[in-house]
Amino acid sequence: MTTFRSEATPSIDELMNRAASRALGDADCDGDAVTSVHVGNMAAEAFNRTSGLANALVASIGVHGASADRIENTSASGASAFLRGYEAVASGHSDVALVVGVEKMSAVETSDATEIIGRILHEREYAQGLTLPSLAALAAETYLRRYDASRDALTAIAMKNHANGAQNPDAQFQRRVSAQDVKNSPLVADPLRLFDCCPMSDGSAALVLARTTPTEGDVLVSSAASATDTHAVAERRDPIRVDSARKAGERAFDRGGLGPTDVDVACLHDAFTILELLELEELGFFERGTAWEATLSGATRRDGSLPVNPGGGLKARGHPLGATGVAQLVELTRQLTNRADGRQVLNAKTGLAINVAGFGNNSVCTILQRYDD
Amino acid sequence: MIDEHDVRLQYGFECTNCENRWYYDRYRCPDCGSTHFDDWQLGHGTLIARTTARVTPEDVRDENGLGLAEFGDGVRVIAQLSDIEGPPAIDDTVELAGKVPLRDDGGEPILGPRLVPVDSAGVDGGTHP
Repeated sequence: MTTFRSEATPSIDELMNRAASRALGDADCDGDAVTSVHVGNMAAEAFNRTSGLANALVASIGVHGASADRIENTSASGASAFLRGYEAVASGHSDVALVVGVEKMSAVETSDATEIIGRILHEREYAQGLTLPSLAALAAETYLRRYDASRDALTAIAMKNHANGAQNPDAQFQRRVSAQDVKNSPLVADPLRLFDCCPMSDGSAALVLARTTPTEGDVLVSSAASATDTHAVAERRDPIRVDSARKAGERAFDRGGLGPTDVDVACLHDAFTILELLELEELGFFERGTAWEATLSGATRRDGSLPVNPGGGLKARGHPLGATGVAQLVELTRQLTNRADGRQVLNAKTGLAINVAGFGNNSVCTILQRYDD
Repeated sequence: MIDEHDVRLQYGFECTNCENRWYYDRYRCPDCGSTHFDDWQLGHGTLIARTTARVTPEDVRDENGLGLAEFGDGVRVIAQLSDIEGPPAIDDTVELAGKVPLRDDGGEPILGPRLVPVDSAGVDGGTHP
């Protein structure tokens, strides 16, 4: 993958090329061996005035004659691209799949980026001036009030993920933040502050999937699944429920014959700190209304019972929309192969990632496992 | 006859086949699949969550009070909060009322209603972008 940046110099094509080339190199794989290419990207037309990303990529990196296309699922485009690559390989339609996620958001002014992202909302919610941070704030306000939860839990998530990002050379923010930094940051939407929100980012991540007889230490895809929820966020049965994440998680666990207690490390979609709490509960890691206490107790730190976002999460690694889902899986792969220098979770054999589109409109859950003979 | 988009925003939909009700435009009834709907007056609801967005799109007021209100039959709506005489609080009875510029970039504004405390209904919803 490329290092995530707030303003990367390379073009979107160059970001894709770099990530794809590195993934092929890591996999010791020639372009000619690739039989399918799956590019996750949300809005190249709007951010970069370009399209045809998959076709440009294959021509540039020496992939000839493969099946290639682009997958768009807003901020879960990356995980959706991975899901399609996995399905292609698992079904036998492809022997070697190259999955690439990419977004270059800095090519437009922040106000334009806000408008591009805002357009994913239902027309009636867009009309009211809603933004993703304001939807997260409604959830946060409800969660804190309903469970009499401490705001410190949200602060602890920001601090934890920044501390993890400080150990990740690919992270956009490689520095720790203090509780005071979080509490003194500007209010974005009550009760969420700037440090409760992920940044806008540029970057790309890539993986190679292949049908092969596994050997010791290989990373296997245990399962991958997705699920949708309502388009209008107001129509959810509860402002603090993310049913798409719950359903995707249940399907992934069921297909893999696994459960929450089997997971050693998780990469959750912490676009806003409150989402990490909600997803921990939706995925069955903690009972409803208790993830905030578990977070404060340190359970989700790297040395806790369930390390969450050891690479910094969206909060610190950054969130180039279409790249995030693939970057989560790159991080899990590094964790499961003991290559996460400085941030390694000990004895991690099973990892889970959840990549969320919009504000819970569509979630993709992927479970990876290290193969031990 | 209600046919103006900005006025339309004050109404929900009722399926003429199964009487299911909702607020957000959709092509088919989520329960029975019918494509035949009537307009449905939301009436009074209860504010169940609220926030104030301090970082807002350029065409939206600088501090955008927003609320989630629950109306009859489980129909829920997120909308701007009126700021006349103070915005409504959690558990207040509200209605979706007025016709104000919700988004205004200097061109043609998007007009629509805000969530207004019931005893304040009839006012125009307060501050504009």
